Amino acid sequence: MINLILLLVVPAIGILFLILKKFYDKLPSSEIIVLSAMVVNAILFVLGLIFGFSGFNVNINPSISFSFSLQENFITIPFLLLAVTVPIGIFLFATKEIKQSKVIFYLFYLLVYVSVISVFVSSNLIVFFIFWEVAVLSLFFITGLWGDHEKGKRAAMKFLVFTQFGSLTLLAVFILLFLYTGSFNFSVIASKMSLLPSYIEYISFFLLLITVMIKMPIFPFHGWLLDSYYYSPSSGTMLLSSALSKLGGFAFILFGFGLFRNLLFDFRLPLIALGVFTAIYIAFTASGQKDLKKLLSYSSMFYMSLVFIGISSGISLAVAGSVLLMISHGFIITMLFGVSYILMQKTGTNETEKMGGLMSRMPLLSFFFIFGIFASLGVPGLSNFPGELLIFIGSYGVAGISLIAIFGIMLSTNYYLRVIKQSLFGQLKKTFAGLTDISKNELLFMVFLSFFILLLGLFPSLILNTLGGL
Amino acid sequence: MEYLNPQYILFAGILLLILVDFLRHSLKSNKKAILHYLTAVFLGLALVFDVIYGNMNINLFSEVQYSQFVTGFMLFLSFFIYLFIISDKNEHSVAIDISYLSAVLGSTLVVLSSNLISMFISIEILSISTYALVYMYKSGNALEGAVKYLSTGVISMVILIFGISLIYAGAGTLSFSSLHVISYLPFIAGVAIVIAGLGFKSTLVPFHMWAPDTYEASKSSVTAFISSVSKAAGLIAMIRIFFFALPVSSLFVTALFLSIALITIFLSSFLASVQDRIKRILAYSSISQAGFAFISIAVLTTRGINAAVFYIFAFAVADAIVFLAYDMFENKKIIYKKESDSMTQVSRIGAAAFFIGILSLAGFPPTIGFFGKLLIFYALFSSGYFALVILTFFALLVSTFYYFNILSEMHIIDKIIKSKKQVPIKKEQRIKEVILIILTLFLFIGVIFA
Repeated sequence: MINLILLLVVPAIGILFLILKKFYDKLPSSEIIVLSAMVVNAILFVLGLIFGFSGFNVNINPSISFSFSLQENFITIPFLLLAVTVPIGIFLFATKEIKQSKVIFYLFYLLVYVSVISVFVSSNLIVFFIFWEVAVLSLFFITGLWGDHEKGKRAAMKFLVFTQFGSLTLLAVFILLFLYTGSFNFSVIASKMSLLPSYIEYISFFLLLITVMIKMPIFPFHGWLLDSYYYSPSSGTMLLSSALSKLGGFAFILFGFGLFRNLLFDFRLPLIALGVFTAIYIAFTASGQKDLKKLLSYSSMFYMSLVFIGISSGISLAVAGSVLLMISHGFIITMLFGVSYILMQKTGTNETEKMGGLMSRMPLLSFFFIFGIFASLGVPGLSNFPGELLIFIGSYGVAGISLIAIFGIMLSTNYYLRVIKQSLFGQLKKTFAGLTDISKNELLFMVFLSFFILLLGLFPSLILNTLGGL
Repeated sequence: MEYLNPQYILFAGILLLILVDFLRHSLKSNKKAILHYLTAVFLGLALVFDVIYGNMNINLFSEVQYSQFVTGFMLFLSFFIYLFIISDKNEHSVAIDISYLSAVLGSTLVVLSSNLISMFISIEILSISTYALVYMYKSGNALEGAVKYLSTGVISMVILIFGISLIYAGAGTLSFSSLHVISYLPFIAGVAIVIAGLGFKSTLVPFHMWAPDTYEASKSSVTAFISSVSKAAGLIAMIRIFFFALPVSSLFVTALFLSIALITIFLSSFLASVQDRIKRILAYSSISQAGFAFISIAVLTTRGINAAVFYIFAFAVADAIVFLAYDMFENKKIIYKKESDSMTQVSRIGAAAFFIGILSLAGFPPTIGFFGKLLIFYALFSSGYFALVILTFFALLVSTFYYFNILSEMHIIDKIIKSKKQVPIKKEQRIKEVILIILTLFLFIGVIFA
């Protein structure tokens, strides 16, 4: 048995070494420290898959039911897979991208890493909330300090104020649950949900919805998305889209589907309608973008709205599909943002109209770009396909309007193909004649991610089998 | 053993200081340092005795369940604030020691007093000595601050005694334990007026006018005392009167309390976000913290009171840290928030402590500010004020905005990371930094008191 605390202790040791490195120069370089911490963690995770995980519990203050307790729940394993693997890929990429005050960046990076893992495994809601906030704060600093020089800080502020409101409503939900069940422990709350009066259930469900809709994000609350995705450093954007937005989906499944299932059933029609509206709206918005990074940011929101449709239909099949889609989207969007950053570095522009014919100079990059876009479009055999399929099958049984969202996928096919056409094919511009292909490091990053995209696409049952408790 | 209580110790300390100073004058000696050390020793002893023996328990002053904890953290904070004050090199007069000790004595007595008259006297002891403390450092416009403080203070004390007399007219007694039988009209008038009197001490809107000016005019380490220990005393006095003494259950009182608290929170948040000077922002933020503590008192349940006591502890520690750290920056003329990026040149540890203190004030986990807010929301929810909590969220968002604006959109942390320049550090600054580190640690381990 692998104790879940080990997954937290290893990165914590990494953080400790990073701090110690300021005083003792003899330690190995900071990249090696971070990478080895994450690799050891991944190995521990694999061992845990084989031998099983065991929980962990330390009481801190019994009067407010605050105990540091970790326990796996019904959707932990797939999300843990995302949380322990994607950051390794992003890190391979970040070592190239981040130029100044590297050690501190790695510190924040490990903080995000450890807090995302802790959110996924914590069974005490206060611990959940603490790490939820630590992740937000660390990403706030990553965006603000390493992002765009002029607008990064403003974008980070916007991000903080928006998500802070979501965090506060989540906190309100937790306190309401504590008030009526007398515990912050997830399993105790789940067993005592019948104690909640119905109006409290309504209040907490809507507060939870606000949190989720800010975090994922869904239509009226997506104002922070573009700024913080666009002005973050690319590795920050990858963390935002592959880890932070998944926290929203995780919370929606864990609490919305796990605790408030009856209310979810009552409200599934309007919620699905909202998800469909967001999907179409965002697909149109993305179609109008000329800037690759903006387009990818909006497309990331598009897939999260599909996830929203899947979860709010409240059917196990669709929820399982949502989990699959979230995991696979985490890998794919990381890869696409990586490609967009490399294109930006090589060509000096983010606008696809100004590129052209890059295929002839960068065949490897073009291969992975097209691979990522096809995966994103849901080509069978790649990882988005099973998730999307399950979501649509599941939600169609509940509400036919969910099929309108397929129109959004058509739109995204349109804009993705336009991007490929404009940037990769056509006449090579003379200014780009001297371009070289991606380096070994970047190749490793791409291969690492495509391995998982293929794996999940060919064997989605690997994830679906772990979702037994749904 | 019976007399080994912090209050006796402090009182003995004041007498001894006067005596030693008198002897020093007659011996024509010029060594003041020993007096400062003596004061520190007395404060420390008082803290130790509070932990071991508890407070004094006589006719007019008696303990309630939280008073040992409250006096404990008051003495703890004032001990460290005092160490911080005397670690400055410039000469202090002995008057500062004496007035500081009496201010601490007054604030611990406020917590204990079980009679309206003894409470009034304790508040007077506290107020008069803080007027003196504000003016004692004759820097800039200290006189203006002190006079403003004094004039509003005197008026509010008059109002307070007027309210007390109304309550006496209604109840025929002033002892908290026998205030339960009281006729309606004088009681309502008395409550309203007592709020006006005590609201001055704890800077609730609309009795907050003096606070930003006085906070700004006085030396920051003195402000640290006023905004943490002295304000805590005012809020605790409110708890003692309105929860333990007066039979408050009427709708009118709850509505009055809640509206005062909400107005305090919102007005101070919005005023803070338009300020330009760091110290004024901190002053308004300190007002809004008092509003949060008061909203928890306003629900008048045991949960609310417990939450309020813990929250008062949380924001007192954080406020003390922030103002003490700012004292180091103020000496180097960092006044506007644009200049906040040069804080790290003064002291990196100071800037880091300032940063963590602000995080705690803004209520970010895992600091105790977060747990304080958690308990407050819990208390509000358990009394059924759902909409109220959602309203306060908006104020919290505004406050998140201005707190991070003080950090001038993260220039501070930027510089903590990037500055490589080694600044020569003096010994006194080391002492200050150690004090700040100790207090900052308390922001994390304070959870155990929740």
